[in-house]
Amino acid sequence: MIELGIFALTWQSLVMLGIGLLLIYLGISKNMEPLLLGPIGFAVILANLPLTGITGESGLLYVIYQQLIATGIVPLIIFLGIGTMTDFSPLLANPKTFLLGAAAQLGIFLALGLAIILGFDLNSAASIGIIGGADGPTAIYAATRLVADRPEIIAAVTVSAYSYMALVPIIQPPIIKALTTKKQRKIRMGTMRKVSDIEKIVFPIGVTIIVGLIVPSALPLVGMLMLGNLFRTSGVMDRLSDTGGNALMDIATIMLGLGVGFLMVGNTFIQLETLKILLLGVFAFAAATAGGTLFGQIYYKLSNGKINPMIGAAGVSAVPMASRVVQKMGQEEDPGSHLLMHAMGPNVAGVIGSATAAGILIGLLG
Amino acid sequence: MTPLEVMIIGIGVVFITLSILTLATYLFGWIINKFFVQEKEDEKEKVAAIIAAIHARGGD
Repeated sequence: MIELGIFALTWQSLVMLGIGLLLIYLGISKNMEPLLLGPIGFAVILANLPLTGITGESGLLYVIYQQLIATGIVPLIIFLGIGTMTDFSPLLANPKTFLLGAAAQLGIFLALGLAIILGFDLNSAASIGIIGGADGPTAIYAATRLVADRPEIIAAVTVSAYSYMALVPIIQPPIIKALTTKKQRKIRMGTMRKVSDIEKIVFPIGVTIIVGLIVPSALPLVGMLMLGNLFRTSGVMDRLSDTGGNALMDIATIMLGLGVGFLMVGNTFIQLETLKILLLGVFAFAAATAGGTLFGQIYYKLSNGKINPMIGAAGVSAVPMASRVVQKMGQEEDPGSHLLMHAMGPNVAGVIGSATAAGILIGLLG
Repeated sequence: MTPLEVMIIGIGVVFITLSILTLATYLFGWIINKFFVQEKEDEKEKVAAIIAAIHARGGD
């Protein structure tokens, strides 16, 4: 006799169906990370309809999660795709902005501390802190390595990381405004030097070797990012660059959405801890923005007012949203100001910085 | 390892790693531009000299 799913619905599964619909709504109607929130939202619905077996041990979502997400394969493939789409030229033209990308990682470690105060264990706190890196694949990769036995934390960290990335234009401006003066926000920055093709090719190889030697546990993330970037910069691997940045990344994104949706099952996801993680995520983003901006203030002083401190806020790695925020805020004060490329330096440095920070935490606690 | 140790070591190693990357990027950028990209400029100068010579002979 066929069992009817409707009689097996619980209040938790109904709430999760609502959350699934909300994520789909935010993705489609509000254009918030639609490529990810769409599949996640749909997968949440799939995972929370009762008696389907789709999350069981031979079920589709279970297999996708266990084989592709828990192993770290999909986040790493996405990182390769990000590498094919990232232009490191602004960073190469102005390498000192690397340190702004480092300063913005302060959010990761401050959020870790706050999570400990709120009662999380060290590994969970480290996973939550990584949200401050503003980098979805890094957050998922780190969480699967640090709290493999706590799927509800992996799910909350993932949703938090991607949701807040879409909210960068809302979270960052008030913090940047609070930490800079109107005069500072008006500062125009000159044109950047042209970066040669050889520099662009040597960079991904050099970064891979250096990071691999200093923080070996960050190598999977940084290595894949740089491999993708080598595809882009070499000028002779266009087919690989195209596949890595388009078809392969799209496939990985679909798998990621389905795999994360699998984790969002009502009886484990609906907890007070999930709410705490979502709040800690906002704090992590805010602290990262503040860390970058305050370090930007040091650059402002050292350069005798030639560097606009706002570009430090772009050190959170949400590329290119954080740079666009800086550009927009600069133009609000001075319509002739063009800070976008200057902000892209710390922005792409933040991608390397957050991957390095994740690697350090995995190395220490994984 | 205590949480405070993780926080201090973590942010410290991030800064050390990215500082080394900063120095390496400056160093390699300088070497590349000094010894490799220069050749292109030399070639440009050669092309300019040839064009000037053609003009001097009255050619177009």
